[in-house]
Amino acid sequence: MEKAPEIEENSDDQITDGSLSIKNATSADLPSMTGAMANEAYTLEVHKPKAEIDNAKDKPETIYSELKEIQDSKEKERSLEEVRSKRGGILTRILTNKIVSNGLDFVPYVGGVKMLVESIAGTTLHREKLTTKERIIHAAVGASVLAMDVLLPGLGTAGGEGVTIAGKSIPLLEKLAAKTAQKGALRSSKIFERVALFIAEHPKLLQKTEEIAQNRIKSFIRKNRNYREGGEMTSAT
Amino acid sequence: MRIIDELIKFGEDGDELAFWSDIYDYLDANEQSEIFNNLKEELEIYKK
Repeated sequence: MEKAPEIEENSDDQITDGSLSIKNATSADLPSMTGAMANEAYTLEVHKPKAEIDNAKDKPETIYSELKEIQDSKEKERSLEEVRSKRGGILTRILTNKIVSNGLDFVPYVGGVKMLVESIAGTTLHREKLTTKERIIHAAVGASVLAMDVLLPGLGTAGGEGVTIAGKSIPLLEKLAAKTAQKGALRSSKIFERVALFIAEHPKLLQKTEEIAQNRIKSFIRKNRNYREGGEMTSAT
Repeated sequence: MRIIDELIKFGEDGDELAFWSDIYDYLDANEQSEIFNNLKEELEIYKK
């Protein structure tokens, strides 16, 4: 008669939960087993080594900490994005103030063009995120548009829609540097000079930003044709 | 600025930070402090 497999309690290297273990059982034994015994044999097949079971017990905790880590990292990225975006805004404000405070323009309509400058500073063509480098270039091109309005008035005239910024940002910033130097504002002049140098080093980004600015200018002019005469201002967006 | 060196170590764009370093001395005191605080805030976020 064929020897039945031995059954013992708590085989210490396999079972940790108090269920029965079947020692020396082979797959050939399975068809001869019935009822509870056969079920125990199948139980044996799904048991895992102790270490794996311990890991499984920790799993909810592991998932929780992984999720927490992802959440923290997203939160961190959001905070970083916010602080970087503020930095771009600081540059836009610095350049705009330098143009205005150095007496390059005193007329009230500058407020309207400032709106346009801010819109250029924070816009992309396809709603993608701006890199920190692009934020500098956007602020610079925005300042160039303001300079264009100040130095080459025409945005608000009948031919305003034909005004183009393409290829003009660097010369306009250089002009701003020269004008402010003439007025004795040497520090402001150096800033415009450095900004012009920076954007000259990134021609592709500059070209892309000038395209964005051009779209904004057109939209601004359509909506604010008479802004020089004190008409109500509407954002370029 | 030491802050800039540290931010570069965290992977921030060296070109952008070099630009700020470049114009820093020509900014007015309030502008300097504004940009300094902004960079410091970013560094603190990285170090959290």
